[in-house]
Amino acid sequence: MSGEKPPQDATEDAGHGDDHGHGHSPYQAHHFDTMKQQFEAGKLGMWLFLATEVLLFGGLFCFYTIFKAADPELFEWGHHFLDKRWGATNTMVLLFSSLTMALAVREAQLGRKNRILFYLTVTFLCGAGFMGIKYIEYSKKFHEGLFPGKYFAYENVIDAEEVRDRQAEEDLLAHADLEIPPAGVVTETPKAQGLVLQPKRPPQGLARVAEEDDHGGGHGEDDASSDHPEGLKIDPSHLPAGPRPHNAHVFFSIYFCLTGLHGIHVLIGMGVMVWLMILAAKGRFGPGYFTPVDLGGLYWHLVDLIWIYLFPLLYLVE
Amino acid sequence: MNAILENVDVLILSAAFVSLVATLVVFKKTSNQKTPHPEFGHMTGPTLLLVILTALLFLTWLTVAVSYFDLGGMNVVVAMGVATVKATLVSLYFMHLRWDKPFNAVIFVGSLFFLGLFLAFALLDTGEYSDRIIVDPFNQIEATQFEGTNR
Repeated sequence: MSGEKPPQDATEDAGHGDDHGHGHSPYQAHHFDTMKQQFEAGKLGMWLFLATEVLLFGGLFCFYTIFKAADPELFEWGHHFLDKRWGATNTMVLLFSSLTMALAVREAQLGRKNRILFYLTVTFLCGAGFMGIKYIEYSKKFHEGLFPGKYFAYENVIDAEEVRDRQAEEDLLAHADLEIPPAGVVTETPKAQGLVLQPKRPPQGLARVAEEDDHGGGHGEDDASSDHPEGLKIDPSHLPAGPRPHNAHVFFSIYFCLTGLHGIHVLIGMGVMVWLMILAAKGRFGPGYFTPVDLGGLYWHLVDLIWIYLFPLLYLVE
Repeated sequence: MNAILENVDVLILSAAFVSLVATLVVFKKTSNQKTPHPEFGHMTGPTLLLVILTALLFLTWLTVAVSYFDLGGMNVVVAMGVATVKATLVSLYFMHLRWDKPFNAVIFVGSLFFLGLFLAFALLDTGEYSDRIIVDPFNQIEATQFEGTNR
């Protein structure tokens, strides 16, 4: 298999693999006996790289796990700021892009250039869509001052909480006033918990709080969204119903570290797609040589795989 | 609000059904074609890939739907279980591990094993300390106190 062939002969044989004494594929490096061996060595190396990727994310998953074990209420509170709808949409986008990537690998194995380009483009666009949705989510967080670590704007949350509590009390008062005799019965500030009298109409404030408890509060168009005072960064109706944990900022450190590193990986994966598209446009891929598409696909699937865990851990688990 | 949130369910479920229909259509179209065998590597048929996508979308719907119910401690178990099934499907079929040399799977599973060791020992260690370094049960720490620190 060490037959020395002139280069032009080898290029004619491009993409047909190693064929007993008929010359090498131009893509075969001299230290491999066959294209099969080269392919399998490349794949082994890629899997080793993916193992290091798992361990890289492992550090951040450890970050998550330790805080989840120590402060479960931190996640119960914080996940109300994440929008399940966008998270679920992003999951679908990534799953679909995994399918198109797997199809691109298949077309590379068949050597159908236009179809490789088509599937790679769709994969790239799905990655762009994923990052677009990430942009929507991130810019909302930035607008609300929900930054990681010491940049977390506690004052925004506290302001919104004060408005929310005041509104709840006003709601309660508005209904309670109908039934209370004008004497000095209500001398102290009524609290939701301390109110014992039974108005004929159910107090709407309490009902709304109970409703929020039911389906986890969070996001959506409440009637309160339009009439909250100016200058408030966070809509009071978007706040979680429960009490705020003492280390609220840590949740956003975890959120931004995990999704940020994952987002960087998506961006790198999109760069890999562009590189593969250039190679495919040059007509490099065929039954004898599709290693770059296959390995790029493995990378993309790993990014998908990590999101499969990130989505329930951050958005769904309470 | 409930209506919108439930619409995500409907969206995922309809995507899964579209995927299912696509699977059937592709299966009908390609049932008479023979899958070619490449010299090396494994070629996965489009029907199988679509079946996997359908399963993944259904599982996504399942995990989102379950998140609306409070099952106590079971929520985490269900979410992680479904995620693991999805990850297994992706690695076996999309990443070709099912037909690959077993050594690649050994590397991958090995990395997960060591990740498990890492998490387990980290948790064992943190279990030895008191819960919190900062004790602030009444939320008295204001944002201003965090400014200037390196937290």
